[in-house]
Amino acid sequence: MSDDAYRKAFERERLARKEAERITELKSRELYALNSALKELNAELEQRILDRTEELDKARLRAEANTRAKSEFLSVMSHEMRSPLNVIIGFAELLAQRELEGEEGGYVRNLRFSAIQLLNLINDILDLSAIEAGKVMFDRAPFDVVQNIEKVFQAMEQRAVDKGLTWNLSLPTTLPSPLRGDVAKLNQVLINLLDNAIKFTSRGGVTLDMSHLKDKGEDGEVWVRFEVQDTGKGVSEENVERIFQKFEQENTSTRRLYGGTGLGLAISRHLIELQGGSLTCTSVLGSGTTFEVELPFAFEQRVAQDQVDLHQEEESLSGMKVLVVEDLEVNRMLLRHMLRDSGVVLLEAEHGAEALKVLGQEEVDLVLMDLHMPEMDGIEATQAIRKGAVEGVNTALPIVCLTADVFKETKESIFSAGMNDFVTKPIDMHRLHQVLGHWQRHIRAGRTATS
Amino acid sequence: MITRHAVSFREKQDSMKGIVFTEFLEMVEQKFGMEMVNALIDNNDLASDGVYSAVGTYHHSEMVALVVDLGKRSGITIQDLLKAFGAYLFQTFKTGYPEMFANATNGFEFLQSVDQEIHVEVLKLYPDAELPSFRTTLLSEHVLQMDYRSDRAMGALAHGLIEACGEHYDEGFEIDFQPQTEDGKHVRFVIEKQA
Repeated sequence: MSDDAYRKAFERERLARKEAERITELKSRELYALNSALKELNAELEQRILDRTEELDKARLRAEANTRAKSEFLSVMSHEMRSPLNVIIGFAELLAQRELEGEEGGYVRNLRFSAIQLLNLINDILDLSAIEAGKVMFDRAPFDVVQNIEKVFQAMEQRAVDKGLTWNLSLPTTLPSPLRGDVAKLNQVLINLLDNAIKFTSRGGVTLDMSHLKDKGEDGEVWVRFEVQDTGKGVSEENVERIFQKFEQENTSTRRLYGGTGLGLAISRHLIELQGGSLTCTSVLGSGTTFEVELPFAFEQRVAQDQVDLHQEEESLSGMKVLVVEDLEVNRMLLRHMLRDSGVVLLEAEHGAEALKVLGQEEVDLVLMDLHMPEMDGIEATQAIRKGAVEGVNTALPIVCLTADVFKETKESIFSAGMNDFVTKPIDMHRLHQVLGHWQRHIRAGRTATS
Repeated sequence: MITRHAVSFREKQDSMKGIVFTEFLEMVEQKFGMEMVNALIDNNDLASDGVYSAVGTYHHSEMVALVVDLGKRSGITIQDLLKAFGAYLFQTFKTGYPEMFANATNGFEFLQSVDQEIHVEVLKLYPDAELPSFRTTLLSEHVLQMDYRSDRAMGALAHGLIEACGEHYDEGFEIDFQPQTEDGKHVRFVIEKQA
């Protein structure tokens, strides 16, 4: 083969190499340009994500602020609405005790019924807003669960009997007592479930089956199951979860036929779940519904002895000297009427400053103290008493707060101010007697100990 | 926003990947010698002047001219030349592009992957490449039907590739070559696996 042939081949290879280099260079530039475009796009996307996150953060903060404002508004409204209701219900109850005849008796019953309905509605809304604001506190006081359930069950029996329903209760035999938990919230949930069961059952009956879940829970924990079964109209499968949603009922005709706020089950489920339990429902349309609550209680062996006075007979209040500190005349009048037959000697003051003056002159056993008052509010007055600002006054004097504010901060603030107990408005006569009885025993025990 | 950059490889109509040219000339050099390569380039009016790079693209007519001229000079039919080139090209793929074979454990799997996987990848790198199509239908466990379609009408090249594939997997392909059109742009291969 000639040199010429090699020269030609070599020349071709050289040119091909240059061509390949040129193409490679173009390709790299194209890649570089595309890569830059991608980087730009990436940066732009990141910026958009940042912008969006910032917007969302702002919106969230705004929403949170709105929610806080709403809860505060509700807290204030709770006081504002419950105070006049307190008065309406109290007087309606006093009127009802007069055993008025004919039409007037009916008027009073309607007045009382509607006022209680309104109070229930307000309580439901307040409960739910407290839950949503994360402000619910749970008591861990010791109580006898079985005895408590018996009481609740008995209290509702009449309504079931009036409707011609059977009313059965089945209790466990092995449940330890006392258990620690929040008796008021447990009762609220069970009353709601039993109330619904009666409401939606027209034939057959309602059964409350309570059992001890021995295999469940850790040491020091006792799980109890409460099963509320009815033979009522039932809920269709697709609606079973819906009835736990707030403001939802099974369908629109439910509210028309049976009333209610549609909040009860939502509140109940929250109250149970916040304590680590569960509330579930199974139902067969047309043949009945079963609600199942499983709830843990704390159990400590040593509290068993502390609770001797838990179920004692009601104490006689006769001769007990009580100072009411309350700015509203209607409320003072209501208390006068509620305690009229109890033998309690009632003194009155319109605000904290006046109360301190009265205490300087008279020896009293207990103070019922309102919170919001002109001149000096209940917290300031309590602090003054505890600090010994009034000469001759026992700094350990029992002070019971009268409050319509049901939120947790209030509860904390009244106890940290030095108050001993509280009664919520509207005042329940039974609860008032119970609290006074409790402190009466306390005072007597103290006297016996010192003498 | 991504904007298509001005620097872009729009391949010309009737273009052919440079690797086909470089491999073809290499085969000619191996089988017939450097003189034959020079003769083919000198005696044909090639737009590229015979300067080929694997990364470039060139007009299809140049390949036709080279193959036809080689046929004349060697006395071998164009069909036989293309078939031999196909077998040669398969060896190039085997050594230069092992990733092509990564997902195929036998000959049929490889042939089925040409359209579905290999050409898909080629098009990602060269969006405007004009590739032949190879539709496959598995007629039975041992028989695969493969339809070659291309304006290049180089079914014989495909034949060589398929045959080499059978040898590579040691499956002794029995290949029935069935032209479907007179212009050779559609050829059906019915491939029977022996082993």
